[in-house]
Amino acid sequence: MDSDPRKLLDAAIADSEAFGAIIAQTEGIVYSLAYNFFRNRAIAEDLAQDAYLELFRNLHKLDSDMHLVNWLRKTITRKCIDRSRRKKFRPHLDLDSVPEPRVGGTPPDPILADELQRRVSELPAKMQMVVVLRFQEDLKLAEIAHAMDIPVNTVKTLLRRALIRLRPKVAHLKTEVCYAPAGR
Amino acid sequence: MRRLEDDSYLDAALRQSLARRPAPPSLKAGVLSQIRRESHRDSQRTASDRFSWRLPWRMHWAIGTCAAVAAVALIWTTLPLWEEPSGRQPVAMGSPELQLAEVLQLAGSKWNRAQEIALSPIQENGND
Repeated sequence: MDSDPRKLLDAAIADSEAFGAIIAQTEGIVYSLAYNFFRNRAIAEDLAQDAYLELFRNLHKLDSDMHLVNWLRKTITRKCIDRSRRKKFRPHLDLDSVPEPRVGGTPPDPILADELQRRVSELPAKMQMVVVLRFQEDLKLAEIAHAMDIPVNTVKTLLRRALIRLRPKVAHLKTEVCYAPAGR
Repeated sequence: MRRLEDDSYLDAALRQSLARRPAPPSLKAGVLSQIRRESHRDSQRTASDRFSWRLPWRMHWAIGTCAAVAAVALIWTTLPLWEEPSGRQPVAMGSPELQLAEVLQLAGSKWNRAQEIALSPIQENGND
């Protein structure tokens, strides 16, 4: 454990190039949250850039490096939901819909993965974000509640309803599901 | 082959489908270039702010000159008023103006006296 809790933050304030180290450590989380929400590379990259620029402007407000990831998760979550409200997004069937490579883990069945992603993207925005935070980031209910600024009970309800909605829609897909952790 | 009706299978399938993806290299490059642009813009703004408070200070000669000209103009316009009483000659006794004034004054007093005399019995009768 480092003695200086703001080592990364202070370095990034002093030198914008050091900010690159923060991006390198966290871009997988930020980009994937936006990508799994919108299933569109351009929008995900755009939102991730916005989130990092906002982080750069607020570096002095963060207490420690430990808060970085939480702050980024919260910011990208808010940006995704705001964007989905501002303009109802409809996923395109272009190059963006081609599944991206995962970070390690066992490659899933592409048909099942595509079907699940499509079903998740059809959920209401908040419900969709709860599912993404739960299954991409493996967050606890309290952590999801903190990231989304909603009560824990609401998260619990949204997640339960999401699974109830998803279950019959993907029940027709028969597959061997591997339990190996994916990218964590 | 297992069906996805069981939540544990659904959980595992969702974890695999929604796994983290590698971000494109353009993300980091884009953010850093935008930060550099913003920093450059900020430094330019700071320089222009410094110039903006220096500008009046550089123009102090012009402001001083304007103040001096205004002071001279004020003195120039007020000076004749001070000198006027000493330069003005008193009206000579017996001048036409004075004679006319005396005549008018006399005429006015006589007119007033005549009015008093003419109106006094009427006022007395009115009082009775």
